[in-house]
Amino acid sequence: MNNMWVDIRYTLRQLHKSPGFTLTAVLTLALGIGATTAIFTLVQQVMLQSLPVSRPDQLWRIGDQARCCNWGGYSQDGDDNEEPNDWSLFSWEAYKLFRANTPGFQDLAALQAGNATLGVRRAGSSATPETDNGQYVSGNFFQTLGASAWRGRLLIDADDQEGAPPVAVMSFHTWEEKYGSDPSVVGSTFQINGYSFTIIGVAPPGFVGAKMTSWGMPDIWMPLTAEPTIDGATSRLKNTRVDWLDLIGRVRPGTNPKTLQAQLQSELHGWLASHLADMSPQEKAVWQKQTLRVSPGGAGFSRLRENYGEGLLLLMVTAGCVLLVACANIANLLLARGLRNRQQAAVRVALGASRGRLVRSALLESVALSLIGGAAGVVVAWAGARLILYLAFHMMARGTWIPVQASPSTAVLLFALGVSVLTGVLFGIAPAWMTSQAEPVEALRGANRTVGSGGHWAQKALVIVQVPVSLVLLSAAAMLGGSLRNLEHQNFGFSPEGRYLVSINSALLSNHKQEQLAPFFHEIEERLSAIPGVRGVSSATYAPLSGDQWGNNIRVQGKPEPGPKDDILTDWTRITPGFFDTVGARMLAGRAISEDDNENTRRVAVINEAFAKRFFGSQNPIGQHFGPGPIKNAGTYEIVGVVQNIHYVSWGFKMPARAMFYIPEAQTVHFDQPDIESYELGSQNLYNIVIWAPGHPQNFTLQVKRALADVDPNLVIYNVLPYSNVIQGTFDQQNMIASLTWLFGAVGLVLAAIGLYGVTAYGVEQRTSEIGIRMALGADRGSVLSMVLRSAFLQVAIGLALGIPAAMGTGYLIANQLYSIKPYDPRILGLAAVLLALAALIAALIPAQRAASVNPTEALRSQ
Amino acid sequence: MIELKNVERSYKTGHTETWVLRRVGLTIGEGEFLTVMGPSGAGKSSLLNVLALLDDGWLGEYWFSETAVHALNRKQRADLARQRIGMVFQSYHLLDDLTVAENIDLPLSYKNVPPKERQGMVADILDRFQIVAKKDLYPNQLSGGQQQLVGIARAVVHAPALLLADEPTGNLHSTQAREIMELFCELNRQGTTIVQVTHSEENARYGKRIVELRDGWLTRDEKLEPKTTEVGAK
Repeated sequence: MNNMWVDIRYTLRQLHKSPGFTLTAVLTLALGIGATTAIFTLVQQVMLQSLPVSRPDQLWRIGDQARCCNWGGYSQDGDDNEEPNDWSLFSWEAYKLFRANTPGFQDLAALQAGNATLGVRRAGSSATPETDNGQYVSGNFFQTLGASAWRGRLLIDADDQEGAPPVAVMSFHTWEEKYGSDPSVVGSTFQINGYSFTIIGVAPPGFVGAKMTSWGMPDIWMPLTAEPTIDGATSRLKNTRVDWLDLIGRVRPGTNPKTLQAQLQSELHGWLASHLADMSPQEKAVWQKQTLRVSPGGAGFSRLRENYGEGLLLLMVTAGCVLLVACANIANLLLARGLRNRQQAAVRVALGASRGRLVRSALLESVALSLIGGAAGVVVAWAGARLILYLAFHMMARGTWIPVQASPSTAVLLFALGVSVLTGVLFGIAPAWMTSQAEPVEALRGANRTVGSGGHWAQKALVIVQVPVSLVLLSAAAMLGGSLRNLEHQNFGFSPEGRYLVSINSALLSNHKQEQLAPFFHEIEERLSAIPGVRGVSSATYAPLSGDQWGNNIRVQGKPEPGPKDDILTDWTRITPGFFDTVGARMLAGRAISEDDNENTRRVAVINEAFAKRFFGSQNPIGQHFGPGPIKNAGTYEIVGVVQNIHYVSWGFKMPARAMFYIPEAQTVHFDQPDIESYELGSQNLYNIVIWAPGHPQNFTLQVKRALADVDPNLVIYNVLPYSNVIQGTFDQQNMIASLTWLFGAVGLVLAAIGLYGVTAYGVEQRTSEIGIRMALGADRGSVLSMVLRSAFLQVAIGLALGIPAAMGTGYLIANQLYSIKPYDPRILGLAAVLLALAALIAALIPAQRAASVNPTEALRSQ
Repeated sequence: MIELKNVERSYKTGHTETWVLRRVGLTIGEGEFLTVMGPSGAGKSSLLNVLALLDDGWLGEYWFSETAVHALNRKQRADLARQRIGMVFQSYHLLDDLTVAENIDLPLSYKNVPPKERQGMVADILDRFQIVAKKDLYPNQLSGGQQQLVGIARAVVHAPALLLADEPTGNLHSTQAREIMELFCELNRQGTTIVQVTHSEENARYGKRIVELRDGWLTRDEKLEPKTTEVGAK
């Protein structure tokens, strides 16, 4: 043990005495370990972390898909890649049934799958309401998760009863950030969307509920039974056709998940059977096939994991590649150092040092280096994680709170420590082995006569490894960058140029009544149109690429009832007149929505090309009728126009265009079905305004905000963004991945170039006398230069030969991250290879020139 | 103490085999001070490597006290060398990154001598060689003679039975060389068996016996009259 301390002390002294070497190694390692740790900081929180609640291992979800936010009807077919008829969202009635009849659950809680946008202010205050995210939860939500109040008390079942006094719980984050940890918040009455609620408590720090998302983390939790108060006519609570609740429960010890699942499946079937009369023919055909699965709920309902998991894993591998290149570099540095110090090692052996002791000393040096590099890497990781969060979520610009921290946790620090030690061993093992091979006889020869070729070949092999890794990084970066460019510059079916997107909160929150909404938006559009430079203004429930999506099953008049396998799901939105002109979309047939489409005229709709193709084929759709829900609604809307396909949703860019229809804001239809009626009314809340101002007027954002405030000072404006920014924001994740891969690729390239430089320079140093002899025998400088370059480029060529197939393989592995880019694009591979070769040329040219300028007389004398 | 019987050593270069030791037979008694002489390439250093147990590629028999070295494996030979042999090099071969005291401590640490005992042994030798004042200096802060003094101190700190020296004064001027040789004589008087390789007739006369090698063959084995010396060390 004492010898170990002595060795550690000598190691640190040696590092201290070689500041250049130590600094280079530490910086290189800090980059490699920092990059890996930065990604792990996020991977750990997004992919690996359990909910910060007691005994998360006891929590189980009913359902296994991450779905949002409202699903209609008595069947649940997921996306193409999900199992059909697999239930993950439930109605309130189904929840109550499960809770009452499933003894396997000690507690079963429900929480809203989406979020409720709330306007919140203290009672009596005339200030503009704060926009908060609300979440409806069952009374036993906190108890199920095992959370205790930080202040006051949390919700209990008694609060979640119809007729109970309206109460709410505030998140610690909101209490701290928005109310400065004011203790008087607890017990105070707040106006939430105009209704009085008492804040009964503050949730504990770090508690984020049971959901991890990149948007809408709850600020306020309210009982499920408060939902009708807030949502009024659009309430979902008692609507058995609307599935809007995630269910999570704490199982009793010893409960078998399979038995639990079987019982819940039976309960689901029982519940569905009780609603046969309410089912559509399609639902009746498939209700017996409906099923559900239970899944571990310790990590909650993580949309972050679903959205960012794959990208983070890709980045983890990329950062690992950078670390690998860094390791190869440090190994090279240590090898060169070890070879220079070979005689000292030989003396040690001659003095009695065992091989094991030499290996231990060499490994101590590499591990000490990597630990120092790891410590610096933690700082790099912290900065890197902040950068990634910024790139991924535009966190700083938007001020959106997400439950992911850049600061390293204990797990992250342990990861950094583990990576550091592993890295130290990885890059130290080869030099240590070389050192341990020192022959004591060399010491007796009296001088550093020969070094042997083994070490130099090991160095060259390390460079050869670096080249393909760098090539893979560069080509992946180029592919992802090209893919991002293609995504951003694709034809969206509308013209983003000169367009602005204004996002606002519900006008209902500023006390407008349902029937006042259409005139209110008309007034807004008039005021905005008056801003100089504005050529068009139009509003919509949600605008293209705003991130929202509403869907409905439709029936076409005159066509038979569709079968269970017929795709009748369409997207839809409500718009004001002039919408297509304002967004720059072309009408293909008929007319657009106009001012004439009001309460007194027939109900009309404009469909898109995909809608026309799917439901009418080669028929002329103009004048045809369709409607949402059952066949009796099929005559609701008359088609008056066909517009080109607009890529409306902010995902699925590789998928075919989705069928969509547009209906006027000023027309309301009254449906018998409560769920359809609820959507009909809810959709009149327009959340987006599109402005066409091609000249990019000065102070435009300010002018827009002023105009809106003139109409309603209480209207909450989220932001006014040029559409180019909206598009950019749509591809935040791709941008993050592409940017970081470029960054990692560049770091890998620089490190590989440094590695090649080091090996070439070392080779030149070793061959100085040989070069002197060659020159004395008549070699000119050009031939010496080409000799050195040839040797360097042989390594690069071997590396490229290995790297090109590896890069092509990588292209196939990341193909699902690419858009309109072939995984084997020869231009991209060529570009990456040329870039690498150029870096190699620069790296090799410096020592080559030094070799060419060797003075033969001096070189020979030095021998 | 040492007995070599028909020891041979050769090196292969391509298809040719070069012999550096030919059927060497040599007996070295305990307490002897033997000088190995001969022209360059005669096999002096090769013989020293064999004696130091640093070279494994020889043939023949090598007895160290009662131990048949030729029957030992590499590890056993290294253990024997660590316990019984000290080495002094022509180029001193002090480790640049270690202080004088740490250099001297090195062989003790490789022998796993307990730290407290080591401290005492290092202090003793520093005192004996009168280099206490230099214990915290690094090799590059010492003169050549001082460096070799440290080299010898390092070689004898663990009280080896056999001290091997390869051209110990080869890099020193005559005054320093004389002092080093007198130190060897003193060590020999205290019981250490010494084998030195040298080109210098003058240094050879400090010993009690000279053997000469030519082309790998032992060609001369001569006992010398004892030379009166005074110990001197800086």
